[in-house]
Amino acid sequence: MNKKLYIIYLFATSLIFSGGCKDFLEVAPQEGQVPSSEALKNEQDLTNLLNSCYDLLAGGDDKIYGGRLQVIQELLSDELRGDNLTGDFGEIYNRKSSIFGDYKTGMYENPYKVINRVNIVLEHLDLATTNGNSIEGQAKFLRALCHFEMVKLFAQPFGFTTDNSHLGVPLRSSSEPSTGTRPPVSDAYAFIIDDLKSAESLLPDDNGNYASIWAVKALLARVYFQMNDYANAYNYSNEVIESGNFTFDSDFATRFSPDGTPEAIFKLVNESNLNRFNELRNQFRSDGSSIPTLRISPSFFSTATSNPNDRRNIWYTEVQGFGVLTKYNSSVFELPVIHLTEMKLTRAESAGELNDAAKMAVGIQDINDILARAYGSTVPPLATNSSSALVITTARQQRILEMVGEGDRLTQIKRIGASGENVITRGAPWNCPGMVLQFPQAEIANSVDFPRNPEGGCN
Amino acid sequence: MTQNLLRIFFLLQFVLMVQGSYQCFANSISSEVLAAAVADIKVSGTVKDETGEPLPGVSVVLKGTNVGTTTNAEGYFTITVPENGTLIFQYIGFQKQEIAINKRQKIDVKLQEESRTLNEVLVVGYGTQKRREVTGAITKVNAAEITALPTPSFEASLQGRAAGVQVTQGSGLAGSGSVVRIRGAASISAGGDPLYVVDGIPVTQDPFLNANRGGMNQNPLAALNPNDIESIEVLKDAGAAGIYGSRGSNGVVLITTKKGKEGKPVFNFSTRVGFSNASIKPDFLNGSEWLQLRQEAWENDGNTGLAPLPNGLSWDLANRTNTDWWNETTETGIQNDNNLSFTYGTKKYKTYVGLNYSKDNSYLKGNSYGRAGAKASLEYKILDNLNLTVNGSFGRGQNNRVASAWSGGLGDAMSTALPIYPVYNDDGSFFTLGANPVRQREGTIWRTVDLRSIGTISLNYTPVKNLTFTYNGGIDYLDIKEDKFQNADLVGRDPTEQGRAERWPTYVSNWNNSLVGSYNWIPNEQNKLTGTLGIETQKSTAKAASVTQDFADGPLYDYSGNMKDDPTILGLNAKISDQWTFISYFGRVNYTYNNRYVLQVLARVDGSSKFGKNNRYGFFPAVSGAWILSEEDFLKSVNFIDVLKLRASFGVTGNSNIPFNQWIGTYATPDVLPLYNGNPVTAPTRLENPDLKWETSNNFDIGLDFSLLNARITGELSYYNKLSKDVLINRNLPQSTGWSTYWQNIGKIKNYGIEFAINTVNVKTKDFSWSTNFNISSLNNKVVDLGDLSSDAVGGGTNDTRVVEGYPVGTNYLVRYYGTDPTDGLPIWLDINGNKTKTFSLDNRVVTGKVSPDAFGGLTNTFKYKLFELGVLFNFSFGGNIYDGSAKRQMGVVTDWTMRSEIGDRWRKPGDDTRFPRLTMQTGTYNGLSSEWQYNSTLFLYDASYVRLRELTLSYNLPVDFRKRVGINSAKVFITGFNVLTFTKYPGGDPEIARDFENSQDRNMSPNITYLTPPQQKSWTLGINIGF
Repeated sequence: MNKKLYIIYLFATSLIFSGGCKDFLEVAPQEGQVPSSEALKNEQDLTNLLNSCYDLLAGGDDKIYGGRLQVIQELLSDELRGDNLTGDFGEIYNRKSSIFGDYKTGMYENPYKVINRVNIVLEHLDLATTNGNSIEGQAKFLRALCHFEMVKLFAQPFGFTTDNSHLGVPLRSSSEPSTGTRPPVSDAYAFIIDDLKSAESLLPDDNGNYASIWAVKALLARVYFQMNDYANAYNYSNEVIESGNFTFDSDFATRFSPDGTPEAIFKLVNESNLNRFNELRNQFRSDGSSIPTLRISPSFFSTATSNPNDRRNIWYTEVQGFGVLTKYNSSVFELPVIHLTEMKLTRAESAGELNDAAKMAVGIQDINDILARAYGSTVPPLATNSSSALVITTARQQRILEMVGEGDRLTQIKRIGASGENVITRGAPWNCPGMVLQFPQAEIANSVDFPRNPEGGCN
Repeated sequence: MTQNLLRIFFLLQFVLMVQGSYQCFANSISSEVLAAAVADIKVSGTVKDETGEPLPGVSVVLKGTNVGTTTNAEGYFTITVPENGTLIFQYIGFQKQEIAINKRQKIDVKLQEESRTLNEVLVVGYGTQKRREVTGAITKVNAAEITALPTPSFEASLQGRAAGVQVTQGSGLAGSGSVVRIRGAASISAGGDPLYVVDGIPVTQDPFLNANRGGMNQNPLAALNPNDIESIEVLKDAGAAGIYGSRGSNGVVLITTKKGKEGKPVFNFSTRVGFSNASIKPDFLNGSEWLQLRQEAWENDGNTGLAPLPNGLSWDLANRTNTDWWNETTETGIQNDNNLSFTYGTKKYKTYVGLNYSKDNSYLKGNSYGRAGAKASLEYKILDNLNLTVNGSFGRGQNNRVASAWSGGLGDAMSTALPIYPVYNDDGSFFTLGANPVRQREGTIWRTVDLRSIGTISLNYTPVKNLTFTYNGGIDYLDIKEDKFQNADLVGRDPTEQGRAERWPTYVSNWNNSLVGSYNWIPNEQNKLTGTLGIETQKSTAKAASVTQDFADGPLYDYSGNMKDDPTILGLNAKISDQWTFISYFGRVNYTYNNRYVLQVLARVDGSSKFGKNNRYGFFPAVSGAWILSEEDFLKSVNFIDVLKLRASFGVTGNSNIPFNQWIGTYATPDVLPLYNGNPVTAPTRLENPDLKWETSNNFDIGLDFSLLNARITGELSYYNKLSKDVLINRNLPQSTGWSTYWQNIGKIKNYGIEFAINTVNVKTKDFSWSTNFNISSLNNKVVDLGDLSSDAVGGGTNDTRVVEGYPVGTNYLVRYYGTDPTDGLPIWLDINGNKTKTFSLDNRVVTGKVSPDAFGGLTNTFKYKLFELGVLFNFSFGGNIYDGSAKRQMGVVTDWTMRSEIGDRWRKPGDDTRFPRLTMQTGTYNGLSSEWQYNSTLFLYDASYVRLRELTLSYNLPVDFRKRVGINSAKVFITGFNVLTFTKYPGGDPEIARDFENSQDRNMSPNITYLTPPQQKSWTLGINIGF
C-alpha cells in the first residue's frame, strides 16, 4: 500500500512539476525578430526605423521607386504601346483597373507602410537625443512624399473640382490601425504642405544621402506645380536651383548610373550587394536577348527620335523592330527622385505662366540650358523676348523628352488638364475615371463604407 | 535543459521503484505456478475462421503460463498441457477465445472476426477501449484497406473507407498530398487538417513546410510506409477526439504501426508493379484549329489580313508545326513497390522488422517518388509487470520533381505552350520564343529528399493489478532538402557558362513526452470504472534556409567542397522558421454499469506558446454515454439483433493549427535586413494580438451501432452537429494602416450531417460469398457569423472562393453568365438583381455555388469464389461545384494560351445560339471586363458530382497443398486497377481536385478550384503477397 501511495505521490509531483515550468510556453520570436516592446529603445533604433523607410522607397524588388510607381505611371500615360500587354499591365494600360490586381495592390501597400513607420517614428521622438530635428523632419518629408504619390494615383487631381472637395485618399497621421476614410483632396494637399513646411524648418542644409532642406523645397515646388500654384512653384524651384548645391549635368548617361548624377536633389542609393530598382530593369531593360515588356509606342518613338542631333537619342534603341528605352540598362544605378532638370523645367514653365519679365528671363535661360545640352548648336536658343506661350510649350516638350520613362508624364497630363486645358490622352480626356487607379480590395473590404472610385470610361 | 534533466530524473525514479516492487509480486506469482501439479496431456486441433479457412499463426497459450505454440499453415496445432487447464487462442483481428481443456485431446476452434463484436479493441488516444465501452464516434480502417491501392500517400487510402472522412486526393504528382476533412471544414485560416498521431505522438504533417514551389506542396506524410501501418482509427466527435483538447476539432487520425507478435518467425513479402496514366485528359485544340480561332478572333475585332501571332511567331512556322505538348510532357508511368517484413516473438520479447522500397514514376515525364525505409519494433518484458517497447522507423523519400500547374511542365502544355510552337528549331536547338516545357525539363535537375525518422519509447508499468503507468516518449525528425539546378540556357546565360543551383532545406524536430496513469476499478460484476490521468508536453522546432549559388556546375547535393567549410552553401545553418510548445493535462473516466450503460467524462487543459498571453490555457471537457440496448431483457428475446448500441456525446474541442507566435508583435532586427546607405535598418513586421487563442467547437453527436443476424448486417448511423466559434482568421487590415494581415478570432461556422455505414454479408456458401460495405456522409456547412468582415475581406489569394455569411466555407462568388446574345455574339450577364446586362462588373458577383459536396462515400463489394476474390470499390461525391480557373484563359479572350475543344460551341454569325460568346483578342470587346484574368463567371463553374471506380482487385490465393509443397504459409497473386473509370460531367479533366495551395486558408476554401492541376493517376498493378 505504501508503494501505491508513493506512486501516486510520484505522479502528482510530476504533474505539479510540469505545471511549474511556465517558460516552457515562452517561445522566442523567429531569429532576427524581437518583440515590438523591445524594438525601440533609443535614438539609434529610431534612426534604423527611419532608414527602413528609405529602403522601402528604394524597393528591394519592385516597391515604389524600385520601379512599380514609374511603371504604373507610364502605363497610364501616352508613351507606350499596349498591344502586347495582358493581365495587370493590360488592365492598367487600358485604364480600367478593378478592385483586384496584385500589381496595383502592391503599389498601394508600400507607401502606406512607409507612412505607418514614420508615424511610429514621430510617436517615439522622445527617444531622440541629438538628432531629433532631422529625424522629425525626414519623417514628415517622407510622409508627405508618400501621401503625395498616393493622392496622385488614386484620386482625381488637384483642380478636378474647383474647391477640391472630390474624394482623396486615406491620410494617416497616427500608427493606430483604424478604418480607412477618404477626406477630400483639399485636405490631402493641406496635410502634405503642412508636413513639408514643418520639415523645411527642421532639416539641415546637408543631410548626406538623406532628405535635406533642399529635398523638401524641391518637393514643395513639385506639389505647388501640381496645384498649378506657379508663384510658389517658381519660388521653391528657384530656391533649390539658386542654392548652388546641385550641378547641371552635361552628360545624359549619368542620370541613372552607379555613381549617380550631380543633379540629384533627393535620391535613393543602391547598396553594392543589392540590385535595387530591379523593376525598372525588369520592364524596360533592352540590352538582353529578349524584347522588354514595356515598349515605346511607334508614334512617340518616331517623334522622340526624329532629330538625329538630339543627344538624348542614346535613351532609345530598337529590339527586333520594337522601339524601347535604354535609360535603365545599367545593372546598378542610383535613382534621382527629384533632379535639377525637373526643377529647371518647373521654374521655366512657372515663369511662363506667371509671365513676369524678370522670371521669364530666368525661365528662358533654363530652357536654353536644356536645349543647348540636348542639341548643341544645332537648335537655336529661345530668343530673350520669346512669348510666354512659347516658353510654356517648349518647357512642356522638353519635359517630355527629358523625363521619358521616369513616370512624370502622367502627372503633367493631369496637371495641365486640371489647369483648364483640353488634354486628350490616347483618345480619352485627362479626367476620365479610369485615369485614376481603383483602390485595392484589401482597403475597400476592410474599411467600413469605403467609397470606391468609378471605373473605366476611358475607352 | 534543466527541465529535461529533471524529467529524466523522474523517469529513473520510476524505473528504480519498479524494480523494488518486482520482488514481492514475482514471488507470489511463481508460488502459485508451483502449486499446480496435475497430469499433462497432448492436445491438438485446427483453428479456422468463420468461413472455414484455416488460420495459420494463431497463438495458442496455456492460461496463466508461458507455455504456448502457434498454428501452422493448415491452422493445425499441438501442445502438451495439464488436462484441467484452459487454452487461450489469440490472433490479430479475431476475438480472443478461452477454451477449457476438460481432458479433451482434440479441440477444433472457430475464431470470430473481432470487428463484429463488442470486444474489439480500439485505440482511443492514451489507451485502448473495448468497443463496448466506446462512447465516442470512431471509425477504424484496417491494414489491408490502407495498402490496397497504390496511392501517392497513405492518407489518400482512407477515401471511401470511412464515413465522415472526406478525402480529396489532389493530383497525379508522385508523392502528392490529399486534403482530408473530418466532418466538414470548420476552419478558415487555421489548418483544417486532422491531427495525425503515430503511436501516440502527434507528427509533423504540414504541407507548407517547404513552401509551394513548382506547383506542388511537399507532403511529409508520403515518407511513411503504408505497409508498416497496423490500423488507423479516426476519432470524430468530442467523446473521442476530446482527449486531444485544443487540437481535436478537426478530428484525430490515430495511426498504429505494426508490432511484433508472439510465435514462430514469420516473414511476409509483397511486391507489385504497375503502369499508370492520367485518369482523364482534357481535349485541346491542335495547331491548325488554334490558328483558325486566332484568325477568327482577329477578324471579329474588325481587322483584316493575317492575325499577328504571339511573340512574333511567323505564320509559316506556325502552319507547319503541330506539337502535342501533352504527349511531350507525359508518358506511361511505372510503379513498383516491395515490402519484406518479419515478426517473431516469445513471452519475453516480440519483434517486428519491416523493409520497404518503392518507386512511383508518375505519368508526368521526369517525375517520380521513391521511398526506401525500415521500421523496427521491439517489445521487451523486463519484468512481468514492466514492459518496454521501442519503435523506430526511418524512411527516405526522394521526389524527382518537375514543374507543374502554373510553374510549367504539364501546366505549360495546358496553357502557354501552343501547338504552333515547335520543341526544337530547325537547327536542332530548343525553341525559345514561347513556352517550351521540354526545354525547361531537360535543363533542370530538381529533387526533394525527405529523411524522416519516428522513434518512440514506451514503458508500461503495472505496480499492482489494474493500475498501469505508461510513459511514452517520442521524436519525429524530418529533414527536407529541396535542390534545384537550372542550366545556363534557362537562366539566360551563354550555354558555355555555369548554371544556377538553389537549395531550400527544412529541418523539423518534434519532441513529445507523456505520462499516463490508468486504473481499472471493478468492485463487482455490475460496476466497472476506468480512470486515466495524464500529462503531456510537446515541442516542435522547424528550421529553414534558402541558398542560391548563382554560378554552379550542378545541384548542391553534388557539391564536392568540404561540407564543414561551407555550412552556408549547404543550408546547414538554417534559422528557426517555426517553433511551438504544448503542455497538457488530461483525464478520462469511463464507467460501465451492468454491461449496458456507459458514461464517460473527459477533460483536457492545453497550454501552448501559440496562444496569446491573455489566453494561455484552454479547457476542453466532454461528456458522453452509451446504452447497449441489446443487453436489455426486452431485446434479448429478439433473435435477429446481436448488438444495438446507442451513443451520444457533447463536448468542447479546439483547433490551434496556426503558425507560431502570431500573437506577438515583432520587429525585424538590423542583422536580418539589408543596409540602406550603409546604415542598419529595423522595421515592424507584425501587429500584436495578446488575445489570440484556439478555435472552440461545441460538438454534439448521437449514433446507433448495430449488428444483426449473426453479424450478417452490421453498421452505424450517426448525426453530428458542430458549432465552431472564435474561428481563426488571418484577416486583412485596411491596407492604409500599413499592415496587411493579422490573426484574430472572429466568426462562427456550423457543420452538421448524417453518417451511415452498413456492412452486409449478402451470400455466404461454402464456395461463394458476397459482402458489401457501404458508407455515405452528408455535409452541411455554413458560415454563421463573420464579425465585421465582408466577403472580400477573407479570400483572395490564389483562390476564387469566398466566405459569405449564411453559406459554406468556400463559396463560389461569381458573376452569373446568362448566355450569348445571338445577334452580336456578346456575352450577357445577370446583374445583382438578376436582370440581364451586357456589362461585366465585379459588383455583380453573387453566391453561385460551393466547393464542398452535399454527400460523399464509398461502396465496396467483395466476391469470393473458392480461392478467388474480387473487390470493387466505388467512391462518389454528389453536389458541390468545380470552378475551373484555367478555363477562363483556355476558353476566354484569345491570348497566348492553348484552347480546349469545348470552345467549338461559340458564336460565329448572327443567329448562332451558343455556349461561348464571339471570339476576340481584346478584353474591351466584352464590355466591362478589365482583364482576361477577371473573366470569372459561372461560365466556368461546373457540377462536381462524380462516381469513380476507384479500386478493382482480383486476387487468387494459392491452394494449401501448393503452399505446403513449397513451404509457405500464405500466397496471393492479385491485379489491381486504380481509378479505372470516372463518371463526371466536368469536361476539364479529373473532377477530384486539390490544387497546389499557398496556405491553409486556400486549402480550406478551395478544394475543387482547379488551375492547370495535373489529373490523378490511373493505374493497373500486378502483385504478389507471400507469407512464410
